[in-house]
Amino acid sequence: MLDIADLHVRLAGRAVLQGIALTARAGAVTAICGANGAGKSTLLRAALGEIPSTGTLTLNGRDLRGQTAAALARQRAVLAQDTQSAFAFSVAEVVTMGHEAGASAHDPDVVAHSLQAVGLSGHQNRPLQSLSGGERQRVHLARALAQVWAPRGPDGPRWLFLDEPAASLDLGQQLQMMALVRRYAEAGGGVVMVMHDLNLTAHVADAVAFLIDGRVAAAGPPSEVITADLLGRAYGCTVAMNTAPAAGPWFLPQCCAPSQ
Amino acid sequence: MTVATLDPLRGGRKPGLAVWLLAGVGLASLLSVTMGAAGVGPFRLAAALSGGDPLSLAERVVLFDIRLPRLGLGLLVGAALAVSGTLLQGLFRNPLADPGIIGVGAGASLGAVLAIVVGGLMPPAVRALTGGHLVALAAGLGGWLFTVGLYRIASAGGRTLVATMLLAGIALGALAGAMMGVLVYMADDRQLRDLTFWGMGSLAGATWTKLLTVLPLMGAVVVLAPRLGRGLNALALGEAQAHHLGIEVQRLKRLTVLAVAVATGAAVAVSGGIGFVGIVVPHLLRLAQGPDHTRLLPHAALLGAALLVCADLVSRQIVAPAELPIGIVTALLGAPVFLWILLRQARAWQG
Repeated sequence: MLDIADLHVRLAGRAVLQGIALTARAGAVTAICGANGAGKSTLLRAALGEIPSTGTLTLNGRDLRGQTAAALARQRAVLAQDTQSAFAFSVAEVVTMGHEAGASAHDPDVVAHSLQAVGLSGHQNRPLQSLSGGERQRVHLARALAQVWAPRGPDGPRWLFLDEPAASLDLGQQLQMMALVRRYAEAGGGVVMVMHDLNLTAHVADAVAFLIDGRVAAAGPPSEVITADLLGRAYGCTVAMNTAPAAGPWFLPQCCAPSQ
Repeated sequence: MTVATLDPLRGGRKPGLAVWLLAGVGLASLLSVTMGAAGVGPFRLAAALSGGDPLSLAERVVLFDIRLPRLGLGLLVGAALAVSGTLLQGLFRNPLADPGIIGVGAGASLGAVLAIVVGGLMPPAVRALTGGHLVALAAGLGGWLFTVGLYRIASAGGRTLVATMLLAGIALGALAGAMMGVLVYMADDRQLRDLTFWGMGSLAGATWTKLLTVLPLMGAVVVLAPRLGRGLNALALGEAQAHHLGIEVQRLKRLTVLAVAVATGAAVAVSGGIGFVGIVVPHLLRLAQGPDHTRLLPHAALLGAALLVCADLVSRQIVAPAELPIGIVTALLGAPVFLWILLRQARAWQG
């Protein structure tokens, strides 16, 4: 379980996050949503320990602060929004970096399995620089998967933290990635992701934490959180809400108030 | 070393590269020992070793007191410079980084120039204390002080800002250049000659004492550097990603700067300014084996050692019986090779 309570973050003298409470279960997909500037990425970075924060921050019951990088790397993997590589590593070399950092480093098949999972088998010798943006994002997803290959370990569930994982993918790739993420959660792993696309979020997430101005404005299952009223408050937009039989709520944007 | 545990998937893996490099080091060493103004040629050496005609006293002096320490120093300095360059390029995530950039080179040069120009003014007792190693000591100390200063400037709140360090290195280098200018202006003709030769680098003064003094420093860096390889690989994806890959990033950066300061400081102290080894070697190796630092670092040590011994051989042969400073040879050979690599890469990018 990822447990965040009364979390405050100040950046450059400004209170960016104020009293955040968020609980993410293993075995479920938890999405963090909100308008640009609401603090989504800051919350993810604070939850990862990348920036200083005050308040409760535990992963699998252990305080996140003060754990070594190596210990954390065996419990969770992180996919950034955009990962630039300074040198032309091959696809296999990048995925191997995740593999060697994780708890399954003893299993030599993990790299191949991870590449297969993201549909990049046979590309292992290509240099990273020769890939398209979407392919590169999938390579880094394979790296994260290789790091937390077994969703459940002896010391608790393993976690994937994803920062807008679908941003550089096309529609088909987005759905494939979300299916992968769902499978990981259904196998007992934990998934926490920052998402922009609310329709996709409603389709894949079990729980949504919706931020407005550095506070959690609503949290719970997508059908309860993603409402016309909340979207109006967060984005200043009017939307037509609907419900798909299998996938939960979806909406069509109608019109938006001019921004101040 | 984790060299053997690398992924089994990599089809382009070249286990033979280390063997070729070792063979290169061996061949360069053999040539370096057997070629020179006074002759202990390869056949003469083979005959003596196989129990035939033993070496004369003069031959033994040439071999054991001149050529072997010089060979040892060449191997060591070459390996240290190449490994330092590789470490810095990994640290700065920039294939153009070079020990000259982070101030080690500038600090060491300033120290040496100071020792040459002002050293003469010191009382003979102080000079006797340093046993003729005043220039080397001052160079090592200067490199060390500059690196520590730079590291302090670029560190704030327990974090080291790599971009600040790069820019501060350039500023400190300019400052050192200006101060050296003042000293050069003050220097007399004999000192100017010393300065010029020191700046061009040379392995000519090699002795066993010199070699054994710097061996622990440079040897430790060369042998231990591959352990930083996995961290530097992860660092290529950015500091945050490196942390999430289990790397203690601050510790990695601190160790890398320390290793470079020690190895480059010691190298500059014993052999003066030898350029281009640190920048060309990692580039050549990346073309041959890819950017994986766990293999790049041991291979760089081998290639650097072989290249510097070859450059030394050229510097001794080309104007024999005199010697060309080795820094001229490495620059004459290194600069075109470097340009060729850059052009090749530029063309590859254009498709």
